[in-house]
Amino acid sequence: MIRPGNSIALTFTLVVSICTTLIFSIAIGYFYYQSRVMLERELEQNAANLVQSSINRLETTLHSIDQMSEDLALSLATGQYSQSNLLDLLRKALHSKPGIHGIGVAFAPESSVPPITPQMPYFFRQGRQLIYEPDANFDYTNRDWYQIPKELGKKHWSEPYRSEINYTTLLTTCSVPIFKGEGADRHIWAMMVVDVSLESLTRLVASIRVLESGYGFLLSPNGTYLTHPDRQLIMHETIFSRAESRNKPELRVMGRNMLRGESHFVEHINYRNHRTWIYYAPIRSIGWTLAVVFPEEELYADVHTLTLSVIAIALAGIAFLTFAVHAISRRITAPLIELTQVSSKIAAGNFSIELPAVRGHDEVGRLTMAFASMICDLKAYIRDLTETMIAKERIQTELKMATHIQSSLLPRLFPPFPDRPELDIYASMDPAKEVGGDFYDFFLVDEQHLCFLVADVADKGVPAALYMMVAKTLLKAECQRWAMPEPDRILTEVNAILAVDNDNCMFITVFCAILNTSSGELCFANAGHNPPLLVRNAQARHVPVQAGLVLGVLPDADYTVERLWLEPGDVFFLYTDGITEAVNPLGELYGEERLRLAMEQAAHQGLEEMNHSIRNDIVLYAEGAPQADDITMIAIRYKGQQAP
Amino acid sequence: MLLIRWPLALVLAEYLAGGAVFTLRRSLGKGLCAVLLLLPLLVEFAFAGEEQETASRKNARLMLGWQPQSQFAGYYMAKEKGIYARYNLEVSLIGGGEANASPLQALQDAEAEFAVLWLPAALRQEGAPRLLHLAQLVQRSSLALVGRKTLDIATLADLRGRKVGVWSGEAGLPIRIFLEKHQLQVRPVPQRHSINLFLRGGVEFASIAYHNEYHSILMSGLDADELQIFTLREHGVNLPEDGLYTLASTRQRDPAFVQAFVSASLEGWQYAFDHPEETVDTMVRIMRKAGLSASLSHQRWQLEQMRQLMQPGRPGAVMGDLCPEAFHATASLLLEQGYISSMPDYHSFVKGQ
Repeated sequence: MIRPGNSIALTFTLVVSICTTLIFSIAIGYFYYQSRVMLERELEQNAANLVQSSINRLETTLHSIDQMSEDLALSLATGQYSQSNLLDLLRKALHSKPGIHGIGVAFAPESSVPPITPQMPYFFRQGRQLIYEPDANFDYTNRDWYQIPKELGKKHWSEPYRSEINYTTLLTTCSVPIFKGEGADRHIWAMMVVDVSLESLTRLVASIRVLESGYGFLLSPNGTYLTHPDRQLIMHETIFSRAESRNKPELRVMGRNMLRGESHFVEHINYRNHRTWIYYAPIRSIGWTLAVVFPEEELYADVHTLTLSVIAIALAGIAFLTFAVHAISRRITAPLIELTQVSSKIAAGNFSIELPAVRGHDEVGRLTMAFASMICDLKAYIRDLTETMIAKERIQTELKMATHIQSSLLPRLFPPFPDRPELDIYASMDPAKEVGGDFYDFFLVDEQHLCFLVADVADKGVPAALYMMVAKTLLKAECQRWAMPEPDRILTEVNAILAVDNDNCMFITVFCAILNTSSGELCFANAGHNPPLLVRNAQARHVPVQAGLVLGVLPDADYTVERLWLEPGDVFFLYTDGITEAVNPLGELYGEERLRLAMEQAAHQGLEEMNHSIRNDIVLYAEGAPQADDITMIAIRYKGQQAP
Repeated sequence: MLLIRWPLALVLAEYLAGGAVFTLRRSLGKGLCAVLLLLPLLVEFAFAGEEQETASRKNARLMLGWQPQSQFAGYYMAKEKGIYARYNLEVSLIGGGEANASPLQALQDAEAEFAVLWLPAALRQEGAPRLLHLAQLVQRSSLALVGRKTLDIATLADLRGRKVGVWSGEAGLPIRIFLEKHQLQVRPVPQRHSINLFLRGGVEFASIAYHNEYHSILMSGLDADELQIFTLREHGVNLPEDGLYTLASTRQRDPAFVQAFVSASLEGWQYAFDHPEETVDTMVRIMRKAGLSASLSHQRWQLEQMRQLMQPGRPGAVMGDLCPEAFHATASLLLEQGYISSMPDYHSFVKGQ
């Protein structure tokens, strides 16, 4: 199953995709966020500009009305007006300012100066006409536009209200109180009133359009909506009654801020439940608040569209990148997979498999080329190895044959002289390698004389075996040359021959003995060999012999013959140093003494049994350590002349 | 009229039936004529029934204490939901207000059969024509003096020398009694039912009805915890307000009619309290149509306050009852302050003996 863990291509593709996605996400997210922040900052600036410019225009209009009211009030206060003059003044003032709905003077009833009748001359505009409407019975002293400026003692713009003449006409009144008298005598004499239609003042704000659904609205000093896209609110609701109806305490807080004359740019959920930004500022001269609402969605619409486009591009890019990365990593891993498959086939032994074609000089190409040369070298190596193996096998086979030849060379038939009951002979030669350098030999020289010997060639293996063959042949030939062989002479003669062409410095130790089977006289000579053991009456002891020089070194070496007499029952035991120098795993030698003891213990046994006992003892002693040298034993038991 | 038309219809029908032997075109034309002739008959027949109904209903005009608002929701809902109609009454509701005649005047001038008056005003009408108390709607006083808390006024005594707005007319009477009873040496400023003088600082304290101007002040941006309020109720001037009145002569003429009106009106009030949202929506609609400023939140407030104000005065009483204790307390206070000359009798006032 293809999992990211076991496919480089997949891991690589996944990592690249995830990383690119992450990077893009962070970048786009940051870009979007920053765009919004920048937009909001710009929006605040634009909002402030829009609101302030609208306020300035309104203030200009209001200021001119203010100015006119104050001028009229001043001229009225200082001047002496007759009835007709006053009416003229008022009519002309109304005429000169199309924005004004009505103009009048309300004289204080308690005025000491005889007032002009009627007590409140008033002109108002109806279409193109200027209507004179004095109401003699009109008690205006408790009207807000009279009472408030009177009590406050200063010019006052009233809270907008419905005209008493026509309730569909919405007005706001600029009242300028005219006082007369000084100090304690100061009293209200008249109130200059200028009625302004709300429509003329709110027209500007009502026409504010921002983006698609943005708008402006105006609040009165009491927070009453004076203009708003939802016309149901105008003059009916205040921002506080809306806050109560919609259960939005934050709206009430904003309303209070507005009425305090503060100016802010804040987030706001509007009456259509849209998220918006709202900028509000006071219109100080009249105590109104102008607010402009900017719908967030439209504000950010462009940013949203742009971001979505960027996201789409990014996604397309990531998809394309994923494919490209996947394709390239497949280009890397496909040859690797092929090489893997080829490897397993080669490991199985199929050397003639074709490698994938080398494409390009990149790492993969070089790998393929290295792989190819490795396979060539491997082929050659295996070819050489096979040849070597074949040669080795051949040598092994020949060595086996040589072992066979060698072992068949030594007398192996036991008992060798069944018709000579006075003699019992048993011998064995175990080579350390396939072929050994030790040998023994025995043969009847004549009817009464038995010649037997044991020899040890220096070294082991094929050279020793070849030398051994030469030595054995020489010894036997030398012995049979003489009618009355003497061991020392045999050794001397053989030594002379061996020492002549001895370039390889091979030498051989020999112990040669000739036994007179009727008398039991044993003549022997030693050429550097181990002293033999004599077992007599269940006791074994080493026979003291002269050491003598090994054969093959000095051409004119001398040898001495020695004699002893065997008694019936004696066992004469010859051996090579392969026994005494057998080691155990600790490196300790078997030794002469141990051999002597083993011989004593096996003294009563038959020769073959004895031979096996010694060999077993050596094996036991060795405890599994490999045989270091050839082990050769020859034992002769002299039984003596028997009664026929 | 019906007796004349029907035979005519029958004659026409016969004519049409006979006219079936004529050609198609002519019969079609005749058919059209028949329809044109019959249609007014059918219409008249339909309306005739209604005429009969309205003709049997009795006209009643109710003069309200002020302009249409939830303070009079019961009467409007009784009309709107056909409760008056069920009692066989055809009621017109006449809004009061400064521009109009006082309710008392309207009764006296036979401009209305019924009027909403405050109890003190009614008690002051000692002479002729005799007023008859039909039902006491508002059981307790809703009036108060309200001012900004920043003025460091803790008790009534601290009102000395302050500019206090007082209403003129019958609405201002309890305020005047209150000021006189507690001997508060304030600077009274004549005030209309507008809160702007107070909001702009023209007066330090304003006369308000808790169900009306108080909420208007809150809806103009002042928080309740910025205001200090002295209610007349908790300072011993708990004068009941709205009640239904008629002239004694009206009741004498047609007691059933008067009873029907009272019952229907009370039923209308019960409906209004049981269906507050519907009532508030209706009142806002009616007010805006009459050219008045109306907001849902203000009418909601007022209706709820009316419900509390109109709770029966003592256990066992029902809506509309005037408790003798309240009556005597009001009368005593008026007598004490010299607004009436003698102690009126409860039973003759309420039952009209």
